[in-house]
Amino acid sequence: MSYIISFLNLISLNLSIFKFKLMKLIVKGLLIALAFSALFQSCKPTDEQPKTGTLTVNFNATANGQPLVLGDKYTSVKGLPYKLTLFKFYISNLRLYSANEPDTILDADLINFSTDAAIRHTSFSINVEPGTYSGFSFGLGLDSMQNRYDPTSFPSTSPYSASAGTHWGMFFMYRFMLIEGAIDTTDNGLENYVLPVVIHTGFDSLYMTRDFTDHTMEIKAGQTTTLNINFDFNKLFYSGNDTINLLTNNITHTSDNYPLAYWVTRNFKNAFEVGN
Amino acid sequence: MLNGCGKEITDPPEPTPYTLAIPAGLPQMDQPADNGLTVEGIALGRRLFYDKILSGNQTQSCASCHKQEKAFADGLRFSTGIDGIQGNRNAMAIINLGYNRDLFWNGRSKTLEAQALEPVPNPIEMHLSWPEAVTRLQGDANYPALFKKAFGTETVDSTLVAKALSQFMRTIVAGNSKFHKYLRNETQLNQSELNGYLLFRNELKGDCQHCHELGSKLLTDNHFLDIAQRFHNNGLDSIYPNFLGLAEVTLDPNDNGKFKTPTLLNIGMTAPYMHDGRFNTLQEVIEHYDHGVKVSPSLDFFMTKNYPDLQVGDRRELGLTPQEKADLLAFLLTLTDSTIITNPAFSSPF
Ligand code: HEC
Ligand code: HEC
Repeated sequence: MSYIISFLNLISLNLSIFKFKLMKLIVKGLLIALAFSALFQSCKPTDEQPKTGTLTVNFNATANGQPLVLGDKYTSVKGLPYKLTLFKFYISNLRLYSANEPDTILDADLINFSTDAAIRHTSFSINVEPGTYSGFSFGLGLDSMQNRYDPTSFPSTSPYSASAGTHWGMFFMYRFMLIEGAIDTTDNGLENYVLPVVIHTGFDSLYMTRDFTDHTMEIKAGQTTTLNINFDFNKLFYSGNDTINLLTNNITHTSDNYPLAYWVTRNFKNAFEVGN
Repeated sequence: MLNGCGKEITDPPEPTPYTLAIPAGLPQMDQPADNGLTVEGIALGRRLFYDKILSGNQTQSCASCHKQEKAFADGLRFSTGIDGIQGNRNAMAIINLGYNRDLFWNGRSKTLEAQALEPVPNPIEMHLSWPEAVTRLQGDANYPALFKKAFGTETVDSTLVAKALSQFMRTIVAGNSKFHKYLRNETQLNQSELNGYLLFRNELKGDCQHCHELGSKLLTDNHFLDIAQRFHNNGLDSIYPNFLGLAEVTLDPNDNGKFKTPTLLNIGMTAPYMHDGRFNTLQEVIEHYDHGVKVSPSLDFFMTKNYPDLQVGDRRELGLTPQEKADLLAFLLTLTDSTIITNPAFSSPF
């Protein structure tokens, strides 16, 4: 993936965002070319001076002050015990702000909080042009172009692959976020997690962008800069005095319960914070 | 003769790498690093698949229960092994298994290579111990040479048998059904088939696509990375005296009654249906999804998401009209890729 990113990055340097979007149309063809470029890269002598720095982005989730772990018990804002079985979401179009045009350094990735180490994916690293960046932004979900990709044209390792378990057969688009779990409605210590919570969001209108316009980052050639993006999972279900009652409003596949899908997406977008 | 490194080659030629022709519109199939497809490996696997030498009394082969003319199922509710003992699970169709992450109804094997070691020693299937099977193959007039061609050694062992069988099974790919051709704009669906397709996709109606996944065009979700998304309880039972399904492997009661989602490709050829072959026809399957789904604690939430008032013990009422049922059936019958039963490369080499 990092080769793709660095390649797109190089090309996008001198292009406007508009052109960059056009270019994504041919991303399929590029994937093949990139497979080759990866081959050549690995033949390069290793003593060359690195020309790029590395940005490592970590998504850190907590609930009730603890790291979020699927299968562990947490309590919602309304005091309901819940456990999660699945939690994954797309982030896309990660851009860094500098004096020039914003620089798109990541097309899209699927963040997955699985406890299975083989598929857990809560952080990624990108090769970035050295320099001082004043901030960044990213999309939660996929943009309207990405949302219409054909999953069969991507390898099983791609976030766009059908194996990601996100593709949505009803509309031939992607689900942006999948939250699955259950609530213990009785909360009598018997561990009776019977009420399902299923939040699958999709649709172009739920693609939301989060801007961090004033977060200065220094990227140095050959060095790694870490960006921690933290969020409290419980905040997905409240904002101000507007709290979602998971006891009565716990299932959405977007088309059947748009308000819940919208609230959770909006709250999620607002829940992101930059950590240390 | 010299190879690229200028070293003299005295060994027999390497097996010939084989590139699987994937029908347009299907995803690429990952191949295991230590068992890539080769012409010789596939040929050996095909022979082993059809050879009765691998059963105790030499009366059964894999193909006895996985028949090409039945899209590699056997058409029976339960299959009978060589000792006349009947199993209690329906033989599964061998189609597109190279994309799957779990094998068997309860998912107890994770690779074809591991799966292929099971049927030979299984007392209700071929009932021949591996040491005996290996001795037989080793003493055979043809096999040592065929193993040499495929794997570079005349020494037969069970791992190599499993590898060859797996290579052959990975080549059995379905992706040229009427439905696939429709998606490729090569043909049209008639009105009933099209209505059935929309019903199949519609989350407020059939919602079959949630598990029999469409994006991959494989009509199963067993290629998904997250295991939480790959097994489902589709409401056949609310108590599980005979089969716990996935729970047999995970020992987690939340997994009771969850089974691997079978592909619906060639479903018109693989009756009877479900893990215990309880339904003889697709009509019966449709009746099940229409009003037979039993609500239980481990019932998949996709099955009840539009029915928040259902209680444990209830049955779901989808309320499909006779026309809608006929449309759904018409759509299911567009999923047949007849090359599976006609392709000579999948037939017996004997
Ligand atoms: C006596 C009948 C019988 C014979 C012989 C037999 N099978 Fe099967 N096969 C079955 C049954 C029944 C199942 C389902 C068993 C279960 O899930 O517990 C099955 C399942 C499978 C599966 C899993 C498919 C899936 O979708 O997960 C594969 C692969 C398979 N068999 C391959 C073979 C091979 C290879 C051989 C020969 C070495 C063989 N079988 C011999 C009856 C048989
Ligand atoms: C919640 C997931 C899920 C949904 C939704 C679902 N299925 Fe299934 N389907 C399964 C599973 C799991 C099995 C295997 C169950 C078993 O044998 O215990 C299955 C089995 C089948 C079979 C039999 C396959 C075989 O080889 O025996 C057919 C046919 C089928 N489903 C059609 C449908 C149709 C049509 C719909 C929509 C009306 C549908 N399914 C909805 C999960 C699902």
